[in-house]
Amino acid sequence: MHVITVNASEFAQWRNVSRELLKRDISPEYIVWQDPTLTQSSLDLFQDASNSHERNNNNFETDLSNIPVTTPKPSISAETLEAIELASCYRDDTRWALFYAIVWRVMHEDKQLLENITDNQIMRLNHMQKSVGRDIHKMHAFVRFQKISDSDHYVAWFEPEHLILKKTSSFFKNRFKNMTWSILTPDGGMHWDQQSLFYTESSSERPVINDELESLWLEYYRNIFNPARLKLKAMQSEMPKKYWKNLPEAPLIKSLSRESAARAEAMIEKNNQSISDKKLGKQMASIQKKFPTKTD
Amino acid sequence: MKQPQSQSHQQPYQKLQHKLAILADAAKYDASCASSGSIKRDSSNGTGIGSTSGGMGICHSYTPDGRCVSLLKILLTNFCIYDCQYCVNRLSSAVERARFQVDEVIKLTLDFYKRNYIEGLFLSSGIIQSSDYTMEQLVSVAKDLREKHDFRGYIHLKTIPEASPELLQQAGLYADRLSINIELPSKAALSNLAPEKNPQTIHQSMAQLKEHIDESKEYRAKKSDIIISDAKSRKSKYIYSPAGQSTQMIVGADDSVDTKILTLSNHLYKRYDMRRVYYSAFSPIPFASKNLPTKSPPLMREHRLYQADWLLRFYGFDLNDIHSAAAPTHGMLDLDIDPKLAWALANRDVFPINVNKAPKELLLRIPGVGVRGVEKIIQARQFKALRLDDLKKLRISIKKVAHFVETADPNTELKHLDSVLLKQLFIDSKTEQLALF
Ligand code: SF4
Repeated sequence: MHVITVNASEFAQWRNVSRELLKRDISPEYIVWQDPTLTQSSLDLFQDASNSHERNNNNFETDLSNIPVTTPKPSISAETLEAIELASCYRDDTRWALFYAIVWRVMHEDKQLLENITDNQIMRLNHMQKSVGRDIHKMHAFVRFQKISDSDHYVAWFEPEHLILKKTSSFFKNRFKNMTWSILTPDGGMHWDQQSLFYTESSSERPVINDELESLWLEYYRNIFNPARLKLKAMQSEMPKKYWKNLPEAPLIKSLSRESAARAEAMIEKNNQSISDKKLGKQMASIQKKFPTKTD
Repeated sequence: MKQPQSQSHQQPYQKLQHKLAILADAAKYDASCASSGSIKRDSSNGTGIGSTSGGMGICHSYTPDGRCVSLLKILLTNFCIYDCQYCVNRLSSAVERARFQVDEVIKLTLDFYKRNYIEGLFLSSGIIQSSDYTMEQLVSVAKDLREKHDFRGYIHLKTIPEASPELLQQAGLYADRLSINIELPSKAALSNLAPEKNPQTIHQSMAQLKEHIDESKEYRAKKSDIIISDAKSRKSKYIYSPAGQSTQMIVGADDSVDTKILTLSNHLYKRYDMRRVYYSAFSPIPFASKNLPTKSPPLMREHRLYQADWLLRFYGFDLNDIHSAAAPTHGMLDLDIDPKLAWALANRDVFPINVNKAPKELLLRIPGVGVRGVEKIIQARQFKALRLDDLKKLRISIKKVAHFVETADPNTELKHLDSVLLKQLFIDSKTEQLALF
């Protein structure tokens, strides 16, 4: 049998292609998977633009019509497809081949394959799912909206590690339903106008917005940190440096850490400055004057 | 959505920023910032903003102390008529004072929330005028956020134990979580360091919260069986502090040993269904009382307490096990090794544990294997007899577990199991045992 070349850049496309391949019992080693979106630049080196556009619209480089259908209704469990769908957000152009190899084995080798967590391919699949899941969670956490002055439009710039933009839509839509917002990423923009959600082409850089409220956030960040408890490693394992460039508070980390020893010492020094009994009476009187009791 | 008045003038804006600095600083000694454990909710059918994730909360940032920033954690005011010795806000402290207006807190919360800085608000307060007056203020912030602004994010209210039962009853209708701090591990320490606080009142109020929380849970369980069609009765659903209650204990301000601390925690979990007991290593505060230690906070001790707390809640350990782990170190948890390892070293007759045959309860006793690790072992061993190498594939550290487990292949490390030097081996390898988390 000859090598068959197919294209996939999205889960749905991979699924359609895989179905046709499984129907014809074509074993994974005869298939070459290409991801036109992730390998765009390398393709462009060899093909002119119009040609590469055509490739995007065509899932099969090789004609399958003269290979007979032997398994008309291949079926894969919903859980397997769900796992693959999530993992397909992983930014790696070898993933489609892995997914096909896995469904092939699920059909021909072991229906319970996904449960076998020490199998190398399943380990890889689980790693991808976990990594994507974490990236989605971090995007929910680290997107920072800025309000465009004199408008009610909130705009954020974020650079996700994986292809997760669409996966975060329901979170932002349901949380900020009554707000107009846009999240721009290198993979594309996602917008909500309080009624509908829509996507736009990728943007290449973060917009420059000056939101004066950000200074309150920085003030908060500076003061909620206890300098007597510096634990930089713990912080970095949860908020890795790769996210710092889009977090307004991140530039404070360096100075806060540097000053922490001195600040902690100052806290201890001030220890001995408790106020005298006389002053204590005054303080009490002043609080009572400020907040007079209504009843007596 | 109705907007509180905007701060467009430069002057008030700076004033607000200064207040925020003071009232966030005053709140930083509170360990909790969790936004977890509530019911799932969002704004898809609302007029405001906000959602909660149900299970896990979200940390929107981390400060250099490694702590999660999930909520806008502030005090309404740091004026206080009490004089708790360990607290920076106590009456006799010379710290600068400030007070937020109810509307200022509301606006800050909404403004921060809209920028996705936070999951919601964690509000507490020094006591001004009277406990009831203060509690009323706290409740009115939560009430306005919910009712005027249809805010559906997370709200945690620190509850004042001396406040009237009516106010405690109200607070839970707006908050996702309530907390009353137990403050110190013993009654003696409390009457010594916080003479105005009454341990009995604290326990009574915790009991009251538990009662409401249970009632509401029961009510919701029943209601979900009946299909409610009209909007009005759906609105009257009785939801009271759906994320339960939590508490905080200061560690290192008095001389209570760890076993005593954990005995109290165990009681709080069992008696009041606490979702969490937070341990807060006593941190030197400016203007502290002379009766208190002035050293840096015992962070490792705090960490060990959390690990032991986890063992009690998720690993099937009981107080006897904790006592056994802490016995060689006289009731204090060993700072050099984690409590699970300490327990294993004190109970070597339980080991080696066979990863291919042992039941779940025993697997949970293996030092260096977390709850998730145990689940993975159980799943993986259905396919084959596990070898050391397979454990590695499950991301279990061989270095940590090899002395305690039997696998399908020969394990030469087992020869050290009875050695008196085993503990030293772990200390030398300098592997910080963070596996429990
Ligand atoms: S009542 Fe609260 S705020 Fe006031 S001194 Fe005691 S601990 Fe501090």
